[in-house]
Amino acid sequence: MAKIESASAISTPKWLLASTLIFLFLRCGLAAYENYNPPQASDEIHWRSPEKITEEDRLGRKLFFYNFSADWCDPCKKLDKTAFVSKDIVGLLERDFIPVRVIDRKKESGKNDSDTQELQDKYSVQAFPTLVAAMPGGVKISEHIGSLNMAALKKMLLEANAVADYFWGKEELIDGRFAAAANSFDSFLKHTRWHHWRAAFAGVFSVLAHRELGEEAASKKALKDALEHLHDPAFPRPILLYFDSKISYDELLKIAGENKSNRILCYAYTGLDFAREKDYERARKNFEWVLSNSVDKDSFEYRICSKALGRIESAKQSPPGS
Amino acid sequence: MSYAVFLYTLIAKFSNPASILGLLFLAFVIPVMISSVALDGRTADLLLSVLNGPTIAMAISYSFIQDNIANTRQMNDGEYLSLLFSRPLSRAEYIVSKWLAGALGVFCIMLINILVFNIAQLIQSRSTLLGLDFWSISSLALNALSYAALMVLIRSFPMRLGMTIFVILLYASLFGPALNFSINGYESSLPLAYYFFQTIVFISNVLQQFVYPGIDLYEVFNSTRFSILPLVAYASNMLLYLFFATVLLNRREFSYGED
Amino acid sequence: MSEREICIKIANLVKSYGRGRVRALDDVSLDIYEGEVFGLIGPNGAGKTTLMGCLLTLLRPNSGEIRIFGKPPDDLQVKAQSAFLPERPNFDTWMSGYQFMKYQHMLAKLPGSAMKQDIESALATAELDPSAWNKRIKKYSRGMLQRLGLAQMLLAKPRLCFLDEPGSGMDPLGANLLRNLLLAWKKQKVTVVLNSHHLDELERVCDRVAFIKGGRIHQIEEMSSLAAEQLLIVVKCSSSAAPPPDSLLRELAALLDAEFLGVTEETIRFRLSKTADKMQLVRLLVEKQVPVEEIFQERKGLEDIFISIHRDGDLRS
Repeated sequence: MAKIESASAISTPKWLLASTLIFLFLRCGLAAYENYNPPQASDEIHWRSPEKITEEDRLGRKLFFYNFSADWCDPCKKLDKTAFVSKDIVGLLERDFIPVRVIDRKKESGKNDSDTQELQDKYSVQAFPTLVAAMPGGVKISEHIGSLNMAALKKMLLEANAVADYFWGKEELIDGRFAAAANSFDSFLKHTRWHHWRAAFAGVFSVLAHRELGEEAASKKALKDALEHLHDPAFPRPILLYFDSKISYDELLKIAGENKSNRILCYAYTGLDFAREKDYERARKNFEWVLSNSVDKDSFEYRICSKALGRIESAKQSPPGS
Repeated sequence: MSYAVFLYTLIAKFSNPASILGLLFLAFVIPVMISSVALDGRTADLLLSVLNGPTIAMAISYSFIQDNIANTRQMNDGEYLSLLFSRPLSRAEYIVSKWLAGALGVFCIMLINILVFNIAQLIQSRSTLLGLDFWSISSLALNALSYAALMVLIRSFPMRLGMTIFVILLYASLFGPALNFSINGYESSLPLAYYFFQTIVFISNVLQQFVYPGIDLYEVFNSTRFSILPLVAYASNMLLYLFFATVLLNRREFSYGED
Repeated sequence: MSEREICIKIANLVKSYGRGRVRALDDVSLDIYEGEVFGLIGPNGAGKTTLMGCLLTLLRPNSGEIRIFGKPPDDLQVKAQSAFLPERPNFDTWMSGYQFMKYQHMLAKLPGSAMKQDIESALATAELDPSAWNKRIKKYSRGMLQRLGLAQMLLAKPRLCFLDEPGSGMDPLGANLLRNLLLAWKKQKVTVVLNSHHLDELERVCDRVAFIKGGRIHQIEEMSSLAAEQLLIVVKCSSSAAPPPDSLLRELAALLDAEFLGVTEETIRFRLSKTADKMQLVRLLVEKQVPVEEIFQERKGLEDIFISIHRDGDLRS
């Protein structure tokens, strides 16, 4: 009991009062100061406007990052103040992306200019802010509506980067650049978990690409990896089983059943395989079925089949050996 | 700081089955629930912001900082505190001890939340994981301290008022992430609804900035426009809560009996 | 009295509620000496609980001054030397009695090395059965709770004790225990302040009693003088024999320099001037062959004062 000091039980400790006042004063002072002298940015994002996008950009390797916003939109301002001031994000955007700020002016001027409106329509932008990561060719990789914090934005950008390989691979497959396609898919699969739905398709595409290149061993390995990790019996697993000769072509079609999208997948990918084996009749039949039954003319299957069909036609026209 | 109050506040949480079940629910069931439901990006973001944000932190710290841990469940805990404050215990010491006990409890449970959530995600082969790096754990510790301080203040109000404020803050914390975008053309079709909407967003933003004391260390130190204002605001908020809680408790009168 | 140390000094204490409309304490001034047992008595709403609340800093007076051991009542050193038993203490029912005592021991900032000893001696003095020490408080009977309440007071070996309605709901054993405790405290010169409704309880243990009504102190009685002052002797005569004549009784009284107060039915009343005369009176009564059946000292007690104050108050108001 001797160590109990004489002090009041009901008075506020001096240290608490002092520190509360000091920090309150500091806070108000700093806030006022920063109002007039905002801290300098060590790094800035160099936003482009839609009309400044060049053809070169569209053919390049950097992904596009669209920031659809409006001047009256408060969450957009918040986003600018919180997420876009991250060093990591600024670095990522400058290195791997072309950052484009698309500002909606419908409220102020009644309508937007053509570039802005085109982009908004293309990506079906309804609310602000909408962030879109897209391939240079225009294919959307991912989007986010609403503001987000630094960590979430960083995740979005990194994921877009990883998925880009998948998209590059698809474009390369369509163009017939099979070596590049094989590389892209293998890189994608290295960085992605197998449960991701794209991984299943990446597996199929990797097998196709390696087969086109005549790399038997690589294609067998890709096939084995894919089958080992893909447990979901839904498509495209049956296609892999067919490639592995575990089921016949007719069995594959039976599994696809009347489901149009499954049939499109079957005809497209087996068609590519037939074309490679120079079984042009069957290949063409498959491709024509896909072309006439596809609703979306921009879909991967439509585009690859139409290109492949074109290649068959020109192969037929030019004499063998050239 | 009174070690007795600190220790027994924590021990009391494990004192009866109802309380233990409550803890288990907060620590284990909620993250598993969120993990099972958070399938696509948008829902996942919303639910993760609930897990990571003020809502769960406030709920946990509210339940940790109790005054009356007797089973009588009275609305007026004056009779319990009158005996407590006849001891050589200053009211400020009491506040600080409750604060630290609450902060420790919140920190542990939120850490468990993240671990359980990640395990649940991995079991379901999902890719979204919550970070357990230096930044997130430090932020968690700092947030535990500040949310505990806020709850100590709320618990210093008369019971019914405090409960009302707590519920309002809890609901408002859910509004923030849900309303963080502006829809084009909305205001022309339903002006009244739009303005009501905007008012709620405004209130939520004000609360976000001045009341909810959360801090994200990664955002502060990774910013290209580094400013110590968020850190100072964080400390200032916390001290203000503790200060007002102490003042309120110092001024509080414990009437009991018929007089 | 002036050589005695003042333990509690209360000067012009005012406590009002409802923006000054109700004065629970209206300019109360009081000195309580060290080592005495001081009782506060009054009807409901008189202000006794308010006064005790102010002494314990549970309530804040609007004006006036309180000094306990020369320090303000909110001083931690004052609290370290005092103990409090509320009327309806709210214990942590999930703890065992022993755990609760440990908690209180830690709260009192007593040295941990003496914990076991302090707790066990306090529980033993409060006569709480050792088999109950490790039982949960939830399972305690009313009597056990009362003993636990007393035990927690004893932990810090206080110099000043506050008891709020200690007798309410106590069984005879508990009341006896409390009485013994108070007597032990008296020997140790511990100051005790207690509120009570139980007048006979107060009469038996208190040194002084203050009557509070309407927030004011109407009267402070020294119990010793109260007892002494009234040496009223009542003699009940046997109904079979004839009562002695008044003249004889007056003569008897004169011999003792006492006052003959009269006869009602078969009851004779005398007022003696000193205690020693009691024995003399008995001898004289026997000598004069007064047919005594019963003889006892009547106490004009607190009850009478209480009622008269109350009545006066009513007449005045």
